[in-house]
Amino acid sequence: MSLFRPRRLLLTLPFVALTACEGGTLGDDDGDTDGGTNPNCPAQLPIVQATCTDAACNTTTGTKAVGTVELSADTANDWIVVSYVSSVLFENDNPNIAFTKGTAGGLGGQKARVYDRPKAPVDPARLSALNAEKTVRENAKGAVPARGEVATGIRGRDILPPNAIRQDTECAATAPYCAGDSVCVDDGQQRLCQSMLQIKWRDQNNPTQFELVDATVRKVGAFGAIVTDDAITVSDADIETLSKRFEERIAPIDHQFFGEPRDATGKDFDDNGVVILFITSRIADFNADIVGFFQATDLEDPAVNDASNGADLLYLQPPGGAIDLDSISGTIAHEYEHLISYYAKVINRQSSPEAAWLDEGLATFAEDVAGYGADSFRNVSTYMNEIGTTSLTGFGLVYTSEFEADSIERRGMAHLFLRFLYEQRGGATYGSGPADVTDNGGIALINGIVQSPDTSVETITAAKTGRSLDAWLRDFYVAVAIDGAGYQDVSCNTMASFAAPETDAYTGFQRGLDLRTSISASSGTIPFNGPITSTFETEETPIPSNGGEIRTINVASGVVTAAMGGPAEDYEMGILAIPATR
Amino acid sequence: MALTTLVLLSALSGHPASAVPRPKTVQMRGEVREVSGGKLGKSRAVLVADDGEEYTMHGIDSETGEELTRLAGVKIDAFGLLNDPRLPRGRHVLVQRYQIVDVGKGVVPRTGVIASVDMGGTKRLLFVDDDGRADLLPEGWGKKMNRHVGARIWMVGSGEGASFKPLRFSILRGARK
Repeated sequence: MSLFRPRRLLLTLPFVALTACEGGTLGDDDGDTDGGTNPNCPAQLPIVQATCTDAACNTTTGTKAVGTVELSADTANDWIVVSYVSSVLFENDNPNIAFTKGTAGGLGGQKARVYDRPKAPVDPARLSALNAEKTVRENAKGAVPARGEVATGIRGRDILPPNAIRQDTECAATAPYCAGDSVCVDDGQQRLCQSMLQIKWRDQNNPTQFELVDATVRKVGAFGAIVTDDAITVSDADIETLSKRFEERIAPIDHQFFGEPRDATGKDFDDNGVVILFITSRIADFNADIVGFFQATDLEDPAVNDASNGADLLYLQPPGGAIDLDSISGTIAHEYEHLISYYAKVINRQSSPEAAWLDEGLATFAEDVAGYGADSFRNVSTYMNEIGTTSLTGFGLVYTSEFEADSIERRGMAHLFLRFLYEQRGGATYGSGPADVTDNGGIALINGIVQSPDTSVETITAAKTGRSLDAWLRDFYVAVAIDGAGYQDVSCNTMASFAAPETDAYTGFQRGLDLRTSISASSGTIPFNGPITSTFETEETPIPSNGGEIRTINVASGVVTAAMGGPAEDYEMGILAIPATR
Repeated sequence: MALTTLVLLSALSGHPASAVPRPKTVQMRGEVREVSGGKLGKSRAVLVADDGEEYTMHGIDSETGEELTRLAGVKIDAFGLLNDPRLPRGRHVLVQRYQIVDVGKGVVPRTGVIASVDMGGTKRLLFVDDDGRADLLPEGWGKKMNRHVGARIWMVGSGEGASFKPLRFSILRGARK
């Protein structure tokens, strides 16, 4: 039974008409037709892409046929079929899509799809960490950042006997704000350089409650101050390493890619010039698996929300056990992006906080470009198991709330999607210095997404990124389908694959991904075997909005057709086929 | 002096400053936004009424409350109580029931649950709406949607029974685990 049996008035594009320079239109609407620099690679992909020019295909009510692709055994016996559904209006719907497989003489009949391999299980510790970060985000949702001059909620500690005279130094309003290992603390009465602090620790299980934690400033740099909970011991060597990495690597790269956490006047929230990286084991009391977090409520006025620290602040676990300096470094890059994004959207442009899918995608991308991407690559690896059920923007087909939907696989998809945009716009060239990065266009695109008053899909428009969301999704799914697969005349095309991973000169770790080459990380192997695919069969099935499927068809002889149809209103859809000959 | 006292007494008796407003049954139409805020920072559903006023919605029970936060972007008719003493003062409405009136472009969906049925040894999914009408969902839904049997959804489709054609849907409440 086919509810959307495609009519033959659909224009089908036989493969023979789609040889180099005549065929697929991947990336067509950005004016970029460069197939890469490999002279042995066709300039354009030999894809078969369905288009439909008939008026009936453009109906705006009921259902519409998207098109039919014809797959000839003369061209290839094995084909990859990519289908996608995109909507700017319906970010969280699930349209019903009808797929029809047929032969020249009739329909191919209905069979259950067959998957090429089972899903790999997800590490429970990673799920636990994810849920902890989501809880912090949920607890901090709706934070109202203070406007104008406010005192910080952090206090210097009175370590002197009663009635003794304090000998603190008044802070200068320009950098360096304080000499030595101290930070400027404005308590509303005076601005003093302090090295011994009290920081509020908010109970994430009861977010109106907090306690004061004694802490000590260990190392202050141009961008950050490392502060440790007095209840723990962190070696000077570890402090030096983290400070060095933040100052010369993580902060400069995050600034270049995403922007700086400064208001329109160039000041940070607590006007001390640095973000406080607060290392405390109290995080483990809340959740042992989460390495760190940013909570937006710390940018509220402490006079309004007494649980707020009124400070630029990231929370981090101390190194130890499974948490090493590399995972902490990646987490700093991640959480610092959240802080920057919050400044860009909420503080500087009075906009909404970035949508979770995009904010987490950017933050995991930050881990990758900073050279500490192991955790973020694991997200992408999980996404490879969940291509057909994951929505870039919505709940997808597995989850039933936004809290659940901020999943490992959605983070992986968003990270990979943003990396694709970044690379397609030119990426960047990394030099020999710790933060020696030259933009080739990719950074400007990413920076434009963050430093825009718009959020979510409104940041991914043709005017802002060169392609519409649906064109980006189409090209993204093709890249996911063929990247690293070694398909003749296909996988060589840089427009339809991810840039070859590089070894980062500073960290020694991998930047970027090959979706079919596993990564050996200090935390274990991160498997990459390409996306799980299933056979293309005649069926109706839901596909989440801003999602897609990657499927396979074997054409033993003759011609097999593959067609797609779905709801007419406000969805952009497409089906295309790629010869998968190795 | 006496006159002042009289005026004061009169004012107090006529408009007692501390009077608690009485609960009032209301029906209001508007678009739902999921927002969050306050010191607790929990997500909440806000109804932006057609007259532009904003009301924080609270479900009469946990299930209704759960559904309200998943209605972002949807236009509804909300039926409930204003000034319910269990709620904070101000524009808070206790929603006893609601009806979706627009999921985009004026389309009114049906609401109901996903159910399953054994058809000759094959498990098939059904959409059973609030009026009790059951429509067979396509076979291809089984693999992906089995986990959502019992979930409450809104559904836009055409036809009925075995010829029902789903167009699009969204989950309002997950299935009980």
